Amino acid sequence: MNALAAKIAHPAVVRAAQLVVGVVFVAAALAKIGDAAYVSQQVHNYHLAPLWAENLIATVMPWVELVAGVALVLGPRRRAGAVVVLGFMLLFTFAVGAAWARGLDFNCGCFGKAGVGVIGASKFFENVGLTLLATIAVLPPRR
Amino acid sequence: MTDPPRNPDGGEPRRGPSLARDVALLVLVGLVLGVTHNAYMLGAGPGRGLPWIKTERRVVKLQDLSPADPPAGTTAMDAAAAEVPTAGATPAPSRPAGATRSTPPKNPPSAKAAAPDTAASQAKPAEAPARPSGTPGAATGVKGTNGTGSAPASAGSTATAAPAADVPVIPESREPIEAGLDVVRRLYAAKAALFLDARSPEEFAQGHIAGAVNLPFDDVFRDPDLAAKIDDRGRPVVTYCDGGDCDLSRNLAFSIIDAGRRRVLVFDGGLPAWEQAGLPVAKGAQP
Repeated sequence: MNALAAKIAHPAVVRAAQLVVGVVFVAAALAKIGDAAYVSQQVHNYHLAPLWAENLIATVMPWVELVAGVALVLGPRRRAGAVVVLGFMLLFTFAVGAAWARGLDFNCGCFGKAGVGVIGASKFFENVGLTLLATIAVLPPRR
Repeated sequence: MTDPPRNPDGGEPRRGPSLARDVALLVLVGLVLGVTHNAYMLGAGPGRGLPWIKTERRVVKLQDLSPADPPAGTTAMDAAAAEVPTAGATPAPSRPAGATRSTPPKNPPSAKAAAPDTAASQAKPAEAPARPSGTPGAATGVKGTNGTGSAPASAGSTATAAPAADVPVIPESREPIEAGLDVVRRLYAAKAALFLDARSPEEFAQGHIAGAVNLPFDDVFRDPDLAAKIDDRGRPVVTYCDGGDCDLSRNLAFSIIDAGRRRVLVFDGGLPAWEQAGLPVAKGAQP
């Protein structure tokens, strides 16, 4: 178990996880920043946020994603970026899971209009995988 | 005095408060960028940025509208004008909120009515005389939609035209008007409205109000011009979907209002209520 933990926390593994998750977040953020109205509707579709806050979320969230993604890819403050990304992934996974459980079948909006992922099992487990990667990205590298 | 331990990741001191501070800094930078960007877009012109606070767009009930509101199309001239397809209204930049769909009907409807006589209704687009309600009734369609919405259709063409006095008056409104089965049924029987199915082509093919045109809200959301190309021939537009939690018909109605139409009804019961009442439904991609 300790050997596995040591392997996962290997600096190369942690850096690779940071790069993958960071690039995904930068791409997702850039796709969303171009069309805040669409993001606002996608936020509405989840029925998790109050209506008055949906535009604020749609306005700000992609930029926080972008900053965290850039921090992960380029540094500095990579761990901080990883923590932010992990927080987002936990939130997104919960939101997708809740929508899936309620039988909603809209596009997840994860990559703005470019995304074609419909809420469902595949999108949920895709998010779980990214959440695991984000968890690895947060780990302090062991030498 | 000893230095704090160095973090191998970037050489920063590895301290709890430091990480928390860095996280807060990143979030703050994102917040500032987002707010600044939206403020810039709002200043760049109408429709470019998002209003800071989202407000609910409302749907009015037909009985709540003032009877003094001028019911559009109350003269024979209006009925004649309805023969000319109306297209080209400019869509407003704002978009409706919400596109959630409910679960499709558990029992797909069977075809209880013959296919509408589309060709006949095209040839004689305004066969009905002028009615007090200004509902000419005839050929309908959506120009330029993909999927199944491209063909003209005549909603209610299989039903017997209702007496003029029985046709509800639909006043103009800047909000979609919520309508129940009774109103919608009378409009249908009088061929006095264009029926639009806001669901996906697949759901439309499984069963729809006979004569309705498929105009998926998802398509309109991607291309708002589709709402401006609706060929309603001067008649009210009735949108519907699966009833219940289904938002598609409301969202489509908002898009049509944004495109300049002023007599847009949302059939709140949707297809389930229609089927339950034993009214004509059809299967397949055609109206």
